[in-house]
Amino acid sequence: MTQKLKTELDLGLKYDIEFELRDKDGKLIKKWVQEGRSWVKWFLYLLYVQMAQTSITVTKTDGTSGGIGTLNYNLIISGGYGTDTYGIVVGSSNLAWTIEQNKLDSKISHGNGSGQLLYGNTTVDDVSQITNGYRIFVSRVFTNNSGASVIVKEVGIYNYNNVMFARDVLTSPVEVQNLQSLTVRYSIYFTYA
Amino acid sequence: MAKLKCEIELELKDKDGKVLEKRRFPSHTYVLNFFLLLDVELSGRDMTLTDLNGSSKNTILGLSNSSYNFGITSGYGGSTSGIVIGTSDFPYSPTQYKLQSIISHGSGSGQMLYGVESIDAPQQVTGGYRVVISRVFTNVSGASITVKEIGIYTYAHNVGNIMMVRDVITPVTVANGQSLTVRYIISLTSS
Repeated sequence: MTQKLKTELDLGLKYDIEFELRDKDGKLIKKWVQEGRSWVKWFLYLLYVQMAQTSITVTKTDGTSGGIGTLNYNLIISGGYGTDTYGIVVGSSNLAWTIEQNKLDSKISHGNGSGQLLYGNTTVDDVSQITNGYRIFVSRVFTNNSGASVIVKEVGIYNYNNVMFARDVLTSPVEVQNLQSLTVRYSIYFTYA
Repeated sequence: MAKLKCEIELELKDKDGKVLEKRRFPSHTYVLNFFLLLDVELSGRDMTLTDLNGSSKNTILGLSNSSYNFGITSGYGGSTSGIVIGTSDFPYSPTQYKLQSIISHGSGSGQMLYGVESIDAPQQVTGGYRVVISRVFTNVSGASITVKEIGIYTYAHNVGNIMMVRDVITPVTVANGQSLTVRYIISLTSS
């Protein structure tokens, strides 16, 4: 499937999610794209905090609520290897999305134990030009070293401050077998007519 | 699914505050600078942006002053931050870094008074949330002024003020004594 590039005039920040499933040798088994439109309200809240240079109460991924003010890392999502508290995260629940959600419903944690996946670095690429627009790729590789298959049904983005920006339930769950890896790549973009 | 979109609302009022005209239409013209600054914020890396004078400068995200990034607050009379207006209908290009012909603050010929920028806290609306950014421009110049472009200037640390959005609009003529309210409505709603 090719990437969808929306051209609606009601411009917003849009994103699609690309998935790549690979075997232990890195050979591509399957690749597909899912339309992603599932920002949650906390992303808008943090944009507001920065624009208005103020603070606001948010609910973090651990369920605690508190005020967040302007910070130089309010939007950072480049979590390092093994960090499953920010960056791209994956989970095993297909609970329906709502705009109020503050975390994945059932996050898969980093590790090589049962039901776990190894979290690679979350990389944020430089802006690249597309037809009538620009995009940013945000990627992370999840490797299964648990000894058994792990099913991924949800993906999301957490920031450095443990605030969720987006959550998407996969159209079709993906089974990551032992020693396979799953690359999740967000293509965040805007287009102009 | 939720759609994040940006709309513009214009309200023209006479000297007594009576609404003469009101329009609402989609904003669809982020510029590259906005997206570069977003990349800086997401990645934590420094990048090169273009300031309002056309100079290329590097951001420095590591310093505490970068917490001002994306700030669009502006006080009365400030025309280098927040919503700004201009008189040019020069077509949009994503690499533009300023309005093509900004209307400056003042009461002289061709000038308008820039009110305080207002940024409302997120409000719940049907199916989602929205943030409304607004500013009132008042014409006491003694003659009509036709507004053809609007934009938002924001801040990037070590770069200075930069343009994040520019829209060329169907012209609106603001007669002497009238005011023009410009609202950007950023909404996140389920679809």
